[in-house]
Amino acid sequence: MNERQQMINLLTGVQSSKKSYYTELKKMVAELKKKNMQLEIINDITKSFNIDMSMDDMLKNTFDKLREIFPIKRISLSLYENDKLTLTNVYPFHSLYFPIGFTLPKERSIYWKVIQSLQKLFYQVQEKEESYVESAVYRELGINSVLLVPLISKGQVIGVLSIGSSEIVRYDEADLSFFQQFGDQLAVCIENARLYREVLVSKKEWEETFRAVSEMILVVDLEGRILRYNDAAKEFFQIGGSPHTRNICELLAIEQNENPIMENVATQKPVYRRFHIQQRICDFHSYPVFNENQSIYAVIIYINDITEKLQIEAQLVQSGKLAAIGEMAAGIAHELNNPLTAILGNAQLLLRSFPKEGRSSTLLSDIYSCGKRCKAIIQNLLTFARQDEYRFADCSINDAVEQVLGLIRDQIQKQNIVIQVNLDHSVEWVEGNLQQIGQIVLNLLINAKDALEEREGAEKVIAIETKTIVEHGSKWVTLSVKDNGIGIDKQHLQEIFNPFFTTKRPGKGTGLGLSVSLGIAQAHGGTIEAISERGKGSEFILKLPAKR
Amino acid sequence: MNIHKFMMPEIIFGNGSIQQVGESCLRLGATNVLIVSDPGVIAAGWLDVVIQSCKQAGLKYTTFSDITINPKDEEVEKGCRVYMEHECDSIIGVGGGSSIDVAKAIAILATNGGQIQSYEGVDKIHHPLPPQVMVATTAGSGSEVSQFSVIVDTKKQKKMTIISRSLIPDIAIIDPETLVTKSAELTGATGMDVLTHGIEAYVSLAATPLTDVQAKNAISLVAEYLRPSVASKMNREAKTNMAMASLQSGLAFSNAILGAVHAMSHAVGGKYNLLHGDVNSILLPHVMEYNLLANPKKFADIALFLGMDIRGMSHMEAGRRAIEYVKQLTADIGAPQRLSSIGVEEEEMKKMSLMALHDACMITNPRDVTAEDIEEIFRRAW
Ligand SMILES: Nc1ncnc2c1ncn2[C@@H]1O[C@H](COP(=O)(O)OP(=O)(O)OP(=O)(O)O)[C@@H](O)[C@H]1O
Ligand SMILES: [Fe+2]
Ligand SMILES: [Mg+2]
Repeated sequence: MNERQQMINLLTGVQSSKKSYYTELKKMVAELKKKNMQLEIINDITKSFNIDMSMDDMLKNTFDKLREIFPIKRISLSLYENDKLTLTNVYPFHSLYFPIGFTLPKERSIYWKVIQSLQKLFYQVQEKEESYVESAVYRELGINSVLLVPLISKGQVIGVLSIGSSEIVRYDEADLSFFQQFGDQLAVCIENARLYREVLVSKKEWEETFRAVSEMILVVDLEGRILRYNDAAKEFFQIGGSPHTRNICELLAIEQNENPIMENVATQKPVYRRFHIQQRICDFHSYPVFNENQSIYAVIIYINDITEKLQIEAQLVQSGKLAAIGEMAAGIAHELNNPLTAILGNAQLLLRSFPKEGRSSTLLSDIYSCGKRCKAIIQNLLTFARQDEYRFADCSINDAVEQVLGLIRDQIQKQNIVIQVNLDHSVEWVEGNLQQIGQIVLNLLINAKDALEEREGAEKVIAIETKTIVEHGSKWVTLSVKDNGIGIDKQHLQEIFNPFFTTKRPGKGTGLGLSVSLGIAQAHGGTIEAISERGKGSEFILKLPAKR
Repeated sequence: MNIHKFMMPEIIFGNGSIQQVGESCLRLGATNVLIVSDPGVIAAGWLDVVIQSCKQAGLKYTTFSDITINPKDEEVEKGCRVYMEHECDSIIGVGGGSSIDVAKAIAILATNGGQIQSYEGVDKIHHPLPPQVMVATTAGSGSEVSQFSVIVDTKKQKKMTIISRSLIPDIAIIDPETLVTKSAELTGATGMDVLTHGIEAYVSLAATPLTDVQAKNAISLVAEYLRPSVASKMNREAKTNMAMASLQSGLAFSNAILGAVHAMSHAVGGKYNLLHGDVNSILLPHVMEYNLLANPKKFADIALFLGMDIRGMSHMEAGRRAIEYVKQLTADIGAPQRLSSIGVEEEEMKKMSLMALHDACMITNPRDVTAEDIEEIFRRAW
C-alpha cells in the first residue's frame, strides 16, 4: 500500500473509531482500582504493625492483593543485620528453594547487589545464565522477572524485598514509585516491629520482676480500685476473677475514712502505716504516682509482712535481756559460790561433830540443805542464762518444767498461788533445746502468775500438766499451763501472740513473751494454743512433736 | 479500495427541529452546557431559541460567542477557560462552520487538555470528548456532521485541520428555518461551498458508493434550488432543499474527504479574511478543469446530476459542460469570479501554493498535483 493510500485510510478513518467513554471509564476504573489496591496495601502494612501481625501473615496479605494488580508469583524478604543477609520470609511457602534462615553469600548475589547499591533493580532471568546465585533459584521456580526493592529505614538499609513473576512484567514509573513506597513502608514496619519487640521484652522483664518481688505490690486508682498487683499480693489477698471490682479498703479490712490513699491525695506525699491484716503484721507504704502535669493519678502500694521479722526481733530482745540477766547471775553465782562452798563444807563438818538426834543437828542439816538448794538455784540460773548454746538434744519436757520451777516456784507461792504439778513421768522425749523450752515454760508461768495477781478473792491455782497424746497418727508431747486468773478478752485472743502486744502497764509487760514462745515452739515443729474466757481463766498448751 | 467506512452523527432534520436541542443534550446526560455561537447567530436570534430550549429542559448553561469568521486558536482557548470555569459537562455549537468548529475544538481541550496545536493532523485525540450537539444555521460548512475542525494558528498564520472520529458530533440538528435569516450574498457563498463539497467528494480518491449517493443528491439539489434560495428569503421550499443539500454534501465529504479546491481555499483563508464559499466558487471551475483528466466518467456524471442532457457526448465533453455549468451558476447568483476581485495578491501565490500542497485535503485529490500546478491554477483564477 503506498503512502498516499495510507494517508487516505487515515483520513477516512478505516482503522480508527470514535473514542468511547465506556472504554475510557473502564480504563479509569481499572487504574483507580489499581491505585486503591496499592493504597490498601500500604494501609495494611501501616496498620499491621499496630495489630502486631506476623511478617508471614503480612506478606501473605500483601501478596494476595498485589496479585490482583500485578502478575506476581512469589515474594520474599531478606533482612540485613550485622553485615549478614538472611532470607527470613517467603510467600507462597512452597516456592521455597533456600531454607528460611539461609545466609546469602556476598559473592555473585543479586540481593547483595541491591543492598550495596541501595537501588531498585529489575532483573530478567536469562536462560542458562549463572551470573547470580539466585538465577538458578528463579529458573527452578519458573520465575522470569524479578523486581528487587531495597528496604531503607532511617537512612539505613535493613533488607531487600524480591517480587518475582513468571512473566516479564513491564513496570511503569507509577508502579515503580508504588513499590518504592511499599518498600519504605515495609521497612518502617519491620523496624517498628523490631523496636516494639525490644520494648516488649524489657517491659516483660520489668513485669516479671514486679511479679516476682516477694513483697506485695499493688497499683490502685484514686478511689482505691485495684489496677495491678503482683503475685505476692495475689496470694496474700487471694485476688482473682475481676480484681477491678475490689477495693484496697476491703483488702485491708478498714473503713473508707481510714483509707490511706486519701492521705496520699491530700498531701501528695508517701504514707506509712502499720496494719494488722489477717492476723499478720504488715508495714504499709503508699506512694503517689504523678502524670506529666504533676497531678496524682494512681498510688503504688507496697506491703511488707513483718510478722516473722518482728518475732525474730522480739526473740533477740528477750534473749538480750536474758543474756544480761545471765551475765549478772553468772557474776553473782560466782561470788556466792565460794561463801556457799564454805558454808556447806563447814556445816558438813559441824554435822559430823554433833549427835544425830539433837536440836543442833537438825538446825545444821537445815543450813546444809538450804545451802544445797542455793547452790542448785545458782546452778540453774547459770545453765538457763547460757542462751547462746542453742544445741538440740534429746530432752524431757519434765526437766524443763523442773528447772524453771526451781527458779520461780518460791516467788509464785509467795503470792498465795497454789502450784499443782502433774507430770507424766513416762512422757516421751522431744528433740530440742532444753533452755529454749524452759524459756517457754517460764513465759507461760509468769503470764499465769500475772493473770492471777490481777484477781481478788478465791483460791489462786496454776495447774501444770505434761503428757503424751496422739493426733493425726503421730505422737505429741504437751505441756498445759492452766490458771484461774482474769482471762483474755475474745477480741484480744487473736493478737496475744503478736510481738509487742501487751495489756500490761509499761515497764511491766513488753508484749514479747508469747511471741517469742511461739517462735521457739514453731522452731521445734510445734505450736502453742490458747484457750481462755474472760473472768474465768486461761489455758496455754504447748505441743511439741515426740521424738521418734 | 474494498474496505470502506461511513460515519455520521444522529441527525435531526426539519423545520423547527432547533427546538429539540435542549432535550437532545439532556438525553446525552448533560446537566451544564456551554453554548458556542457567534455575533451573527445572536443577531439572528437563534441563540435565544437555543437558550430557551435548554431552560425548558432544565439545563444549566453558559454562553460563549467571542469568535470570528475564521476561528482562531486564542478564541478556542478562551472558550475552554469559560467551559472549565463554569464546570460545564457538554457543548452545543450553534451557527455556521466557525461556531461548530470552535465548539469541537473546545470539546477537545476540555477532556484532552494542552494546546489545540498539538491535535493538528489525523487521530491525535486520545480521550473521548464531552457530549456535543451541533445546530447548523448556515447551510454549507458540513461541520455539524463531519470529523473535521479547522482552526487558525495565529502564530503561523495558517489553518490547522484537525481530523478525528471523535470530532463527529453526537447529534446534528439541521433546521431549514434558520436559513431564512441569511443574506443573499451569504446564501450564495454557502451554496457554492455545498456544491464544492458535493463535487470534490464525488471525484475524491476516497469516494465510496455510500458517499457517492450523498454527493449526487447534494449536487442535484444545489442545481435546482440555489438560485431560488438566493433570490428570496421567503422561499421555504428552496431553503429546506438547500439545507438538505448541505447536509448530504457534508456527509459525503466528511467520509470521502475533499480535494484541491479546499486545499487551496484553506491556504487563501489562512491569509485573507474572506468568505470560504466565495473563494471556493472562484477556484472550483479551475480545479475541475485540472482534475477532469483524472476521472472523465465521474465529471460526466456530475453534468448529469446538474440536470444536463449529455446524451451522445463523450465523458470529457460532458465534463467540460459541467464546468461551464458551474461558471454560469456562479455568475447567475452574483458570486465573485476572480481572486483579484476579492483582494488576493499575486505575490502571495507561491506561498499559498506550497501551503495548499501540504493541506490534508490535497491527499484525496483525483489528479496528482505539484506546487507549480497549484500556482498555475491560482493564476488562472486570479
Ligand atoms: N495466762 C494469761 N491470762 C490472761 N492474759 C494473758 C495470759 N497470758 C498472756 N495474756 C495476755 O497476753 C498478753 C501478751 O502476753 P506476753 O507474754 O506476750 O506479753 P506480756 O506478758 O504482756 O509482756 P512480757 O514481754 O513481759 O511477757 C498479755 O499482756 C496478756 O494480756
Ligand atoms: Fe467547505
Ligand atoms: Mg509475758
